[in-house]
Amino acid sequence: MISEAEGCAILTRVFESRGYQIARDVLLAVGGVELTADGWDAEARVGFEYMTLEAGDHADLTTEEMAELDERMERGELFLFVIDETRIEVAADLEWAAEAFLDEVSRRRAGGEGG
Amino acid sequence: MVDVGPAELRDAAAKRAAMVRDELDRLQEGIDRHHDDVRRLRRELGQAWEALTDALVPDLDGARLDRLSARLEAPSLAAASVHAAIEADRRELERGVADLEAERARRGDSAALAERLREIKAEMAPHAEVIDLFEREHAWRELFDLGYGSAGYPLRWWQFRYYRHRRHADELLASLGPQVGAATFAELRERYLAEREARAALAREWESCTTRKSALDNLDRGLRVALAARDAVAERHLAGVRRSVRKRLHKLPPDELAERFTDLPEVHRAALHIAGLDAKRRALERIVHAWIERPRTELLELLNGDERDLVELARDGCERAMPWELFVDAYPDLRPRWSERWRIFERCRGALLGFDDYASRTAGMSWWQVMVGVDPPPPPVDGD
Repeated sequence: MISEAEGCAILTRVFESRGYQIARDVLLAVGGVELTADGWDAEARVGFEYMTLEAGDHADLTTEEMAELDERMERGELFLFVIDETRIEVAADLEWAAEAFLDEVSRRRAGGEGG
Repeated sequence: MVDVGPAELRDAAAKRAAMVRDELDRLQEGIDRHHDDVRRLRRELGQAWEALTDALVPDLDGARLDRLSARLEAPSLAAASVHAAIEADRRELERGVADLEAERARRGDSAALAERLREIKAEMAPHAEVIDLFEREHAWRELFDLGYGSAGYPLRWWQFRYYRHRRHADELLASLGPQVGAATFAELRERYLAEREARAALAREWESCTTRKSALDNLDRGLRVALAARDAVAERHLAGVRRSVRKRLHKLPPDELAERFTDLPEVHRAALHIAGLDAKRRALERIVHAWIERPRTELLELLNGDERDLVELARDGCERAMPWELFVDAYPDLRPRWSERWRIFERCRGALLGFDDYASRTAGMSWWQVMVGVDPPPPPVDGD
């Protein structure tokens, strides 16, 4: 199983390979939501948040906060990939999902959907 | 005068106690055998009563019933009364059969239901196969339960699990789609739901058919029982008349019973059989009491005395002694007496149990004399 540290390293690598400048552990205030993103490109407003049980992060975001993030992402204000899985066995699964997420971000930015 | 000391007294008491215990065991075996004898006699007595009532009431012939009714002073056994009861019973049973047959006809055909059940089973099989195809896929259950492919799916495109589900959904579509003719996951889901609904509908019909079939089977069973009861109505009343006759005759002393039917040879023979068996049972009780139970009580008392003596004689410093002449009287050899008692008992028991010529009893002779002879006489009962 991949640990949070390993997961964050993998995601940083994937995001950076797609041209994003990822800073680690960035404090974000999005409307009523405050969180420390595990990886964040402040200019592109793209990043990731790794929620694992080991860090107790699952308690960090309430249903209401998740709904607010969703609303903003639908409007294209930011794109935060939330790793909501407690067990990821293989690195390739995480890499594949991150690539698919970034493809979706590109599609939306190109005007396919959302902001 | 020579005295017998404590050591000799102890040996004599111990030896006799051992012999008495053996004899008590033998007497207990005799009691057990007696219980078996009584059980056998009771069975034979039941059969003799059956023979008597069968001979007395071989059928429900009116004239015979009237004669019997007069003889036993039992109006309820008169032909008119018995035949009326049979007719009333038959009419009631006919009504019951007619009701059951009408209900049976109203509820339909059992064979058609059985056929439909076979069809349903066959119709369910292909649905079960398709459902199994889905459920064998380990990822299917989670995706289906979460509503993947439907508007109710709760995960969003920015969540990792969404992508994991998407990947699994693509794999499932590639694997199952061609087999069930689905081009999208939503179609897969629809197909699965349709198959489940089809199977559930058939299961409901199965349940309903099974319930109806079970009710029909119960009706059929009830009808069979009612028909059998209707067909056996005369037989049942014949058995009832015989029971009633037996109940009345049972009140008579067995010897008087034989005397009442000297004009009906077969009945008389059966009555003598009953009287003889009754006498045989009483004679057995008597010999067992006199030659088994009573000696057993006496020997138990003797054994208790010897055991008390043995305790006393085993004490240190016991100086109990007895003159030789008294010792000989106090510890006689009991075995010849026991042996003679057993010989007489076994001879009487053998004669009683072996006797089966009940018709040979002649007036003026007791059953004991007929079965055992004049020697030995029957043992006296307590108080004689």
